[in-house]
Amino acid sequence: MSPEDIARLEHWLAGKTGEQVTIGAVKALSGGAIQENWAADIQCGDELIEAVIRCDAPSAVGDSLSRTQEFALLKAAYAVGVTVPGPLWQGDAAVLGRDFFIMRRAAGTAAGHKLVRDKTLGADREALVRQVGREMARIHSIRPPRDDLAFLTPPAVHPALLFVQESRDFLDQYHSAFPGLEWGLRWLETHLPPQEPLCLVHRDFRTGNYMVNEQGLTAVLDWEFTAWSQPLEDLGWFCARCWRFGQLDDALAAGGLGSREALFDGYREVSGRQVTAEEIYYWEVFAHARWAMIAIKQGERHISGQEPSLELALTAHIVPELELHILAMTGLKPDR
Amino acid sequence: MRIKPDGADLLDTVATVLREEILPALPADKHSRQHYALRMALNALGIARRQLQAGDAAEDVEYEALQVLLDEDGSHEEMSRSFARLIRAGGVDEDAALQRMLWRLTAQRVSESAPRYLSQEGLSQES
Repeated sequence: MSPEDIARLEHWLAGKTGEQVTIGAVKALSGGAIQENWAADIQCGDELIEAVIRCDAPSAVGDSLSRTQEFALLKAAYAVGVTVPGPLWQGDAAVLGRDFFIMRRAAGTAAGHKLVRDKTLGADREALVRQVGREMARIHSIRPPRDDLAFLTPPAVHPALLFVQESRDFLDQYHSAFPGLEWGLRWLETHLPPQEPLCLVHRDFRTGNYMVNEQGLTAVLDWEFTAWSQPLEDLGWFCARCWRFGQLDDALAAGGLGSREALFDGYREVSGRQVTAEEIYYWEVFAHARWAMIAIKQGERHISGQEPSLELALTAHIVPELELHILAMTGLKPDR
Repeated sequence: MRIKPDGADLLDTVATVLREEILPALPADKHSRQHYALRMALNALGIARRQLQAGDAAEDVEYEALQVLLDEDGSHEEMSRSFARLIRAGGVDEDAALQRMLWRLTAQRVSESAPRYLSQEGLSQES
C-alpha cells in the first residue's frame, strides 16, 4: 500500500468519522489469490484501532464473493453473535481503486498444521471444538430471504444436487476425465438426503480458516464461499479427512482437534438439534468431492500457464487421493 | 542409448542436495515460507521421480483391461472419458469388475501423486 493510498484512506476515514485520523504500522499479511490483507493501526480521535484492511486483489478471479459482499456477511454474522472480526467500515472503490473493507484485527493464529500440533494453542481442544459447533449453529440461524444478503441466490434445486450438476458441466468441458470423482458425484446423486430449509452456510469453515489464541477461538475467517445451503454441509466439511492436517485418529475427526461428539454437543447447545455421525457421513463424502473440484480448478491455473506456481501444481496432485478416499467411503475398498 | 545418470537418478540427487545442503541453511522457523517452498519442491521431485519409475507400463495394463471390460477401443484419454460417462450413467453401480477396475486405476494415480495416503490407510500399492 503506497503512502498516497494511506493518505487517501486517512482523508476518507476522517470524513466518515468526523475525527482526526492517522494510519500507521501498515504491513502486508498473508492473503490469498483473491484478496490482499493489510494490518494497520488506525488512530481515530482518541481511540487506537488495531485493524485489518481487506482488499480485492488486482487480478480477482470469479466464483468467490467480492469484498463488499463479504462485509455484508460479516455484519450479518456479527449481529447473531458469531465470533468474527468486528466489521468497521465498508470501503469505496474511489479510495483505493478497488473494493475493500476495514475490520478489527483478531488475536491469535490461523495456521492449521501448527494448530493441530502445538497443543498450547486453542486451549482445551474439546472445548474449542464445542465452540466451533456453537459458532456454526449461530451462522445457520441466518435464513433467507434477507435484503442485506440479496447477492446470495437461493439454489433452485437441492444444494448438493446443484453441486453435482455444476461439477459435471465443468468436467464435460475439461481436458481430463476423473472417473473416481465421477463415481463420487454419482454416489452423491443417488444418496441425496431429504432437503432441509435453506440457511446460511459458511462452506469453508475448517481448521486453518479460524483464528485461535490461548483462550480459544477468536475469529471465524474466510467468508468468500458462503451461500444458502444445507446446515450439515459445514459440519461435514469440518470433519472431513482432508481437513484434519494429518491427524487421522478418529477421536480427532473434528478438524484434527477433537471429537465429532464435542462438535455436535456445541451445535446442540445453540441450535437445539442433535446431529449424528451418520447424518454427517454424506457431507464428508461431499466435502471430498467439493475439495477435489476446487483442487482441479486451482491446478488448472498452473496447467493453463495463466499463473505458474508450484503450490497450484501440487494442488492438482491432491485430487487422486481425494478420489480414492471417496471410493473407500462409498464401499469400493477391496476386501483384504 | 541415453547417457547415464538418467533423469530419475538426477532427480534423486537433486532431492539429496536440497535435504542435506539447503534445508540446514534455512531459518529455524519450520513454518517459514522457505521451509514450505522446500517441502513443496521435494514433494514435486518425488512425484516426478515416481512417474518416471512407473513409466507407462502400469497404466497400459490397466487400460488394456478397461478396453476389454468396456468392449471399446481408444486412447487412454478416450477410455478414461468413456469410463467416466458410464459411471455417470449408472453403468458401474452394480458391476463389481468395473468397480475393482475403478479402484485400481485410482490407486495407481495415488501411488504416484500421494503414496503416503496408501501407507496411512494400510493399503499396499498393488491393491
